[in-house]
Amino acid sequence: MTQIGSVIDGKYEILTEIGRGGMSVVYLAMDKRLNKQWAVKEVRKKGVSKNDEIVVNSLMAEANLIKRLDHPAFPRIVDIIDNGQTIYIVMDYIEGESLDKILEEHGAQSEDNVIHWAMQICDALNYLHSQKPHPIIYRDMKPANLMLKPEGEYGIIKIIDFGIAREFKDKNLADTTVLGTRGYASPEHYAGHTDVRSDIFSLGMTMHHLLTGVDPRKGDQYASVRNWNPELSEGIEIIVDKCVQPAPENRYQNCDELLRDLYDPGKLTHDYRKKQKRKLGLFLGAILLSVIMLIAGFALKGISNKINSDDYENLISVESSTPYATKVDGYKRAIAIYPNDLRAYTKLLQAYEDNGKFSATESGEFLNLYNKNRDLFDANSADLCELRYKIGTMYFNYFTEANGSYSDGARAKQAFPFFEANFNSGADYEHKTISDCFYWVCYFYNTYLLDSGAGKLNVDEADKSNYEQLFAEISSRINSIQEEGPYNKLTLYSVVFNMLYMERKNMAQLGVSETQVLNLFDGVYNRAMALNPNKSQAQALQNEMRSNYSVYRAAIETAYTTQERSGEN
Amino acid sequence: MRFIATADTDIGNVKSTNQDSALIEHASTPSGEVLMAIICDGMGGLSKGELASATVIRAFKAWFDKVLPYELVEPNLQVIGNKWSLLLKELNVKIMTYGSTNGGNMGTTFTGMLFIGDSYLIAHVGDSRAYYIGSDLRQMTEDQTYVHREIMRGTMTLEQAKVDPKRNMLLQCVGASKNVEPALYYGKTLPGAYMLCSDGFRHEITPKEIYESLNPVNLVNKNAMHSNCKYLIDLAKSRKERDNISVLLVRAE
Repeated sequence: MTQIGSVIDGKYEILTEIGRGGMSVVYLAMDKRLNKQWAVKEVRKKGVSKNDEIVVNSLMAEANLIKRLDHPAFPRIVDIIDNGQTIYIVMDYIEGESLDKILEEHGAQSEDNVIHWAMQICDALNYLHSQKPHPIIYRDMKPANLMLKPEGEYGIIKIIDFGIAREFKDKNLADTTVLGTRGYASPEHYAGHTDVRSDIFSLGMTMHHLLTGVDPRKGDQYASVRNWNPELSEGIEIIVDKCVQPAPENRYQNCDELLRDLYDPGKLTHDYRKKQKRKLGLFLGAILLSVIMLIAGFALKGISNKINSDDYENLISVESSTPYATKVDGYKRAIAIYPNDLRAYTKLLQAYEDNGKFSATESGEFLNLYNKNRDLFDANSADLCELRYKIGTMYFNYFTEANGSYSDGARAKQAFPFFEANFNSGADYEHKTISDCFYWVCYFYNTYLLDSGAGKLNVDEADKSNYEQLFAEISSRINSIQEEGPYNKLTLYSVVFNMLYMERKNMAQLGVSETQVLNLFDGVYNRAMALNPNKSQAQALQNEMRSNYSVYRAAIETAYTTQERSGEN
Repeated sequence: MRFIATADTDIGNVKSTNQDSALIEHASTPSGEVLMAIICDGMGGLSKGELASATVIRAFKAWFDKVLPYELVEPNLQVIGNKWSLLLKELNVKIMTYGSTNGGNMGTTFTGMLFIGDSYLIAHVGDSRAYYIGSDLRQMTEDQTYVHREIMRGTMTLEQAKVDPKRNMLLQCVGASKNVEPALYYGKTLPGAYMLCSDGFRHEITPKEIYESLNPVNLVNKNAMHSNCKYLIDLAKSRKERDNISVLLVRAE
């Protein structure tokens, strides 16, 4: 036993014991030079058991094995220290909880979680299985060896304990020491010849345990997952059953196959297959019908096209003096006639804008039409990008909640999907630069600012590089913005202006360069002041910026000077 | 002791929901006034935070209405503190179970005070705070954040804490922690003011500004107390506080 508080190799201070296996003790240690925490696995060369040699050898084998691996699911080994009596293996400390602890405390896990975890595990096993020259068989897949690191929606799985993993050498099967955990181990495990399919068996048992809470080591007769919990889906039952087939040739033959089914368990089900068959029948019927309709259609199409397009053109080109309600009504009818023509949507937004109001009511009315028909739009066309840009700016310029309140945050949240779709589309269109600026602002709001409680519940906060990236993305575009309308530009500048002020303390704390912050702050301010907007809302926004400028700027400077002096607030 | 209490809240500049909840229960009993004041700062996406904080508040309201009368026969704050602790643990499990079956982590801080006779009890989970305002501003609770603990243990320096991605993470909260161990504080009630607030209230406002506005001398009546609270909330908001902002003020004399 290493004393708590002792220092190994002059730099690893042992803080506390965090685990104990049959072969070794694991400590949490602090690297005194790097000020970083590591896990240190200790094994004594002598006096552990009568099989000293096996223990030491398997430990060294484990270390050498992991050392070669480079996959996010496996801890890295950073140091191996051998002082003659004891070997220490220094590796990543994984913060989180093992799945067996989680099972113990919370019982069975949701199907959604288990599927996402299984996909991560499959990916990691696949990596092991594809090692050259010999695939690595993990051989001890079970909840106790899986750590859940709380990150993202489903958490991140880390695989620990390589005590019994070994390379599978085709020609050397006579490994007589039976290792593995009864209950999770495949039948062939006991015969001593495991291959990639043995890991699939164990993963199947692990999934079974996680889904049902029933521990396979207890020796209950195996029963499909839905016998334990009828609420589970048919798809997941089929997957787990296939994983744990006694004969390896009846299982999934590799992790890729399993992964494919995990992505979409629904397609395995009886209902789905029946539907496919029915679809084929319907399809044949439809062909017959369509031949008949085609003939009739040709005769009528010419006539109806003419009527529709006349109507459409009339509806979307009404006089600007037409009353608001009539215009809106007309555009909605136009959309009903040609739901894939984007012009009426643009006109409808323009009507809202001219009326100066885009509250939850108008937004709901518009989104209803847009979402219903968006599959009909020509994906990634420049026109669609322009429409999405228009929608995004409508939200940013006018959106108010039903009670009349508004905030940059709420607006950014509403606008985000539209700017994001544009950002990801790859299309080239006139307002691309400014649309992408809005995208970055919205992205930042959505990722780091909107749900500020999330950070308290274990979600990472923005770090220095996140701020720097945001600034770089905006600065690189701000000089080449193509946009005639001063209100849209003003809105962008104002949002950045407010965000820099709001985030001043965080940025000072993280050490984001003050010069960079103030340059961007002054940059957007000066650009905003050079504009001559006509709309009253835009003028109000400009005045607001003007009256806040000196207060905000001074506050940013104060945040930086206080930061230099202060400790914890 | 006689009490006057008021509270106010604001959604702040960024969030689309107000997930804070506050409660004041004030009763007159044969042995004097009893007052309970609670602030809960809920967290979790999709309005789940509101649900967590409101659930806790409702449970404590029910406790005040139904259980407290029996406790008052022979009031013992130590015993009540332990019962509150148990109640918070139960709520933790209840909210966690709800969260795990309804897809999403949710939780709430809890800072609650109970004044009986000449003594008070505080139960505290998370990073909301209780202050006493007399001749100065004194923080009565300790924030239960991850970085605060690491600094105290010496495993993290102040510099590291400032940039740690988990710098806002709570050590425990009601609804999202495996085990909740509320911190309990007891003491004699002094004349002056007691203030409970969510973290949104104190990020942007300095202790000096709080003291200037909430100095007991300035709290002549309920209206004055409320308008001074409102003034500080508006101040925090004008400085672009992101979070929900809530404050609860009790004057004791």
